[in-house]
Amino acid sequence: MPRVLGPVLDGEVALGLRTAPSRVLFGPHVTHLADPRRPRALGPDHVAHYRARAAGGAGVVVTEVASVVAEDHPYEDAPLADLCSAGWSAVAEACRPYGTLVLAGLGHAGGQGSSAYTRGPLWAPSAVPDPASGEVPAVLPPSGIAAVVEGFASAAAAAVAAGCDGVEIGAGQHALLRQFLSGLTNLRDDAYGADRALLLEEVLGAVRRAVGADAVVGLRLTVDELAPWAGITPPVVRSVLSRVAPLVDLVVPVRGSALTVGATRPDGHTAPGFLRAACRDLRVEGVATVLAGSVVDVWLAASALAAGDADLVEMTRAQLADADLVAQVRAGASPRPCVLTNQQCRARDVRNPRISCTVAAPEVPERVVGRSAEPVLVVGAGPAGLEAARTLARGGCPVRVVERSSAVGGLLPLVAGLPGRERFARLVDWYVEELTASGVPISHGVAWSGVVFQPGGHADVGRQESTHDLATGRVVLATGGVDRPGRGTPIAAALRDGLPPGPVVIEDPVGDGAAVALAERLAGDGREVAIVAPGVLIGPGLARTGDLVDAQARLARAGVRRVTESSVTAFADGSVTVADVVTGAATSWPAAVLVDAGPRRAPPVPSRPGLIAVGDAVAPRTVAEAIREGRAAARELMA
Amino acid sequence: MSVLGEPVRLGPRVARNRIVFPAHLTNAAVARRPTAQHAAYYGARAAGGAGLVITEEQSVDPADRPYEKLVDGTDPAVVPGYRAIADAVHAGGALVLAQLGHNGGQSSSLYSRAPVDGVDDEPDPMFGEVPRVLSEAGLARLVDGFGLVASHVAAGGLDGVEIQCSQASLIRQLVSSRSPRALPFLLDVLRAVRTAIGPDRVLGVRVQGDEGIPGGLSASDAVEVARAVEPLVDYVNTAVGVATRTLPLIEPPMGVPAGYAAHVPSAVRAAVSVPVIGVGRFTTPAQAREAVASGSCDLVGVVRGQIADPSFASRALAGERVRRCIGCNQECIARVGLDQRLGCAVNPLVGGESTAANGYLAASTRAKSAFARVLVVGGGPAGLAAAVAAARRGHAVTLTERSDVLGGQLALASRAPERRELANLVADLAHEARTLGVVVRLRTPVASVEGVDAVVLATGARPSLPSWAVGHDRVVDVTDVLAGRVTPSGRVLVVDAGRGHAATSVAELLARRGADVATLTAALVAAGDLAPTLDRERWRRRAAEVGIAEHTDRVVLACRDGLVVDVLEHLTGVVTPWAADWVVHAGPPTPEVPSLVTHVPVVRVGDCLAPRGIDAAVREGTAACEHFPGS
Repeated sequence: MPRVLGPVLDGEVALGLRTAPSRVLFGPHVTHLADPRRPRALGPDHVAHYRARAAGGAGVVVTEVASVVAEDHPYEDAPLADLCSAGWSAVAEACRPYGTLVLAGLGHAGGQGSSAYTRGPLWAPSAVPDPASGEVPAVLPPSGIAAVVEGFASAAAAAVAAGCDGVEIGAGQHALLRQFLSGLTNLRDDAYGADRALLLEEVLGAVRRAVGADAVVGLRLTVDELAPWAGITPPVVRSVLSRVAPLVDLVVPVRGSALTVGATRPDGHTAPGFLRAACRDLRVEGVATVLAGSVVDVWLAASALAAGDADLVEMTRAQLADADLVAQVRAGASPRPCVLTNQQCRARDVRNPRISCTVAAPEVPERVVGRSAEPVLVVGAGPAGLEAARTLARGGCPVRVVERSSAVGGLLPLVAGLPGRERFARLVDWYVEELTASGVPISHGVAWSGVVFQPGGHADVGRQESTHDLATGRVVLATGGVDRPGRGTPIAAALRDGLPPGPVVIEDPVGDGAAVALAERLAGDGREVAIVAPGVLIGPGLARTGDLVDAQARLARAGVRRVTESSVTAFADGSVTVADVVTGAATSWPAAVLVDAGPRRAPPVPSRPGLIAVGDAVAPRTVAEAIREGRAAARELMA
Repeated sequence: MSVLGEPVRLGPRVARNRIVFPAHLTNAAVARRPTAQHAAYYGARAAGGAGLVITEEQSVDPADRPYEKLVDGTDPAVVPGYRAIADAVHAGGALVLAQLGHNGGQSSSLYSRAPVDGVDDEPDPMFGEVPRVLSEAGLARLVDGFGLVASHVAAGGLDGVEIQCSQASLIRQLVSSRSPRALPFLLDVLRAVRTAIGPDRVLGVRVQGDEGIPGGLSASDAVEVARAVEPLVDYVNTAVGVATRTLPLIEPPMGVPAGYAAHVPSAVRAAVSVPVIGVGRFTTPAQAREAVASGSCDLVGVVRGQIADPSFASRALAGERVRRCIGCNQECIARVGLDQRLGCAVNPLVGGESTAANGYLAASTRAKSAFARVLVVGGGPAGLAAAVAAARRGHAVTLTERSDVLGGQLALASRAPERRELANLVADLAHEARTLGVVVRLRTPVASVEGVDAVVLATGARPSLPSWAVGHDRVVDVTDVLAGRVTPSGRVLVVDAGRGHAATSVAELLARRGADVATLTAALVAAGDLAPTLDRERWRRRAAEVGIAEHTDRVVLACRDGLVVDVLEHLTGVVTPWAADWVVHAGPPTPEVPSLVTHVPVVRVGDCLAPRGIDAAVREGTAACEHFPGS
């Protein structure tokens, strides 16, 4: 990382009457970090989550959005402002030593909320059903509007009284205030329909009065609903912003409507920095403007700041991937790269999964205080092995890596060749840089079967190596999974070796996106492709990443045949037969190749003292598990 | 005294009657521990007369966590919660057992962040995770886990333990994979549990009958397992279906007859001498009685029937009428599948037993204030529920209904195939209203509200056709078809702007009358809301039977004379003309809010507040009188 970028992010920036120590903002996001016994409060795990980013150099932390009225309960452990004072106070106190400004995220999800917990109706500007839930909301009456305004004001006052530097008002995704601004959702015939910005103006006015001139008032504002026929567009927002500018110190332009929830924090299919032009065009005198929207690379952030396109950058996912992002930049180091898969951090899910990160493995502490410095042999240079090696090296433990192939990264280079997954290549590069800097050698062309354990516990790796600097029987086995024999070509083999010509059928019982990506690539090459899946959707796992709907559109436009609730019953003589799993109805069509996108399996793994198997060698799963287990194994061996 | 009222010996203890409240998920656990809600919920069914209550599964391994709110029975901190459950159920006079289980490869790593432990490395369909294969040492550790949790159950004062070997269970997986490790493991578990609970408590197993999978287990396998464990257990419970694969077999929706699984307990009962429990959508006392009287089982499991009416058992024994479960599955199965606390569409107090008096189905609870004269406008489920609840509090209630029948949208919806039981709710609420002295006036549009102290507006919603329908006689609403105002035939296009039962009901009704029916939805999945309630699979079979074609990802842009609609495939932007003889639209209706000039309090409930489901109507109707002044 060029050292010159550091000062750009690192510079102080004024927000109203306060000063943030850096220009990097950690935006509000769903965490499910609450204590289930106090589900609507901010708990100790929230505090630790925000403290880590403050310690890592974040200039501004915005806490998870708290509902300003009890009628709004968008997910089970959504914070409720009335119950957040102690939590806000603890977060502010935890971040204060670092100078980081703490803004309390405040909001109301309106028609995009949930009626599952209140058991009452959803409340929205008009009776327009939310596309996600299909639920028709009740129309917010004037008394309800007054309660919302009062709710924002009293919550803001409480947050500032608790020690927060200010608040950020939510008019972005999942926001009643956006729904009032939008012609998609506001069909009212009263004053709030005639002037759709009226409620926002009233709320911001009331909030400003409640917190005074000294506190920071931020606004997260949808500037483009991607629905120009009725939705919010940048020209509309320009006039709104000029009205409310005197009331706010900070604005974070975002995009997306209830029709395009995935567009707000999209995955790797959308190029980072997509709001840069909008941000530049919307800058208003006296208001700090924040560039949001997949800003995960320091170079992009620095370039936008240097060009004057924004005053700050929101780098939420980048700071989930590396809590020390700003500190790393200050030190001239490379932060661990966010890969934009959204698999672990997009936590708005009814099952309440705790927020995590594909690359950061936050469940296992990264800093190690190693006691044992006996050498360790890491077998396999996929993500599990690389993370284990890096952790061992940082803990001062002599380590070497052996890898069967000539490449590094295991399956990642194959994955990185798929559309939307390109950033996995950066992760591999980052590991190589890290290991090179630590002086960890990687020996290629050495398979696990070539490692011979000698009496006395020494391992002999290859013929030409001496044994004295090798692992004394202490091994992290990270050899990955193997293909599962089946009817078709295993998907990993298809990616590695390519496929013979002709129409392709991909059978996908997993639904995590690999089959979708392969289909897209093949269709892009002009191949005839069908995906057959047992469930009601193709790629259902993409619901988690926000790419589900977009993926269907890409497949449909590429001409990929999507065959749901079906399984392949026969494949022979240039023809595939597929049966509906419910009705049994069978269909056949010409196919030259059948790809089996089913799961791989673990190889036989030896059991011996001092050997820890990790990642796909235990059970084939995702990169997140590989990294988590690689690090955990390293810590265990150093304990 | 019916056969249901005969006491039955379960090894060392005696259940006072034959009605069981079997294990089922409640999502009432908090931080992996049982709660006051568990105690109140089970206690209410015991107070309502059940003979035996079996708690939801308690996991024997902290890493086994397929869903968030599964109790970790290995934590000694569960014991006070168990004690509270035991006390609450015993206070009602029933026995209470804890079900112990391990989900094996049917689990998820979402919460544990550890590999799933399975009997082989084949992924289970629901979570699709490749398991790590359990070693002998791993199985031995789980045997210890069963013993440990059983000791906690005993310390909590429960009457015993049921071992889950069906539905979602490592033991089922072992049996199903024909593993030689299956029976030895199960016997080890039973011995460990018996050691932990001693000879004075009840030990039972729940065995797996039909899995509903080609080559899967069937009743004869249940018999084999039951025979093998008979010397070690005090009773045998039965089940059909695999929770993560063939769930509709376990919790079938309306349309599936009572007793559909009776062949399993029948076969087991013929083979063993210990008492056998049978289950299978018994929603009325008569069905439960028949299950025992016919000799199919010794005890009868009634889950949803006792959720709907906590006093099901005492009413069954007294020959009284119950408020029936209608098999809608909207608030029990669907909510639990979404990590939400169990509820019930016909009994809005379910899930809140620990915080509210569970008295609405019991004898009249006295109003805190003076009795009021209450006018309820509208005789749909919301209005009926409001009338019943207000009358129970002692208010003088008059209900007016504009049409000549009660039931509102339910009366119409129940005319569709496999939706008949919706009418049971109307009938049960109407019966309760009559019993409580509610004055019902049909064919009475509300004109004045003179002489009343409070008004409940339950006027529902009216159909709302989209703008493209204007000016076309043959573009109609689903309610027009259900009410018989029109009889579409020929090529019928059903446009589903709702995704629930409205479109599928009308599509099937018309297809069965010979129409050539296609459905069209903007959603990625046709009839998507039928999935959480487990209706979708049956719907798809019936749709295939009558040749209904389902089209997704499509919206109607416009309609032209001669009836050609322009259909946009929104994923690709392609617009195609679509010729039809009739178009039937199913979409969210518009609230019907009559303007009333009155100074008395007016409470809006159900669809006239926001068009939603049965649950909202019944819940808000039941709660309406809480909003009266002084209540």
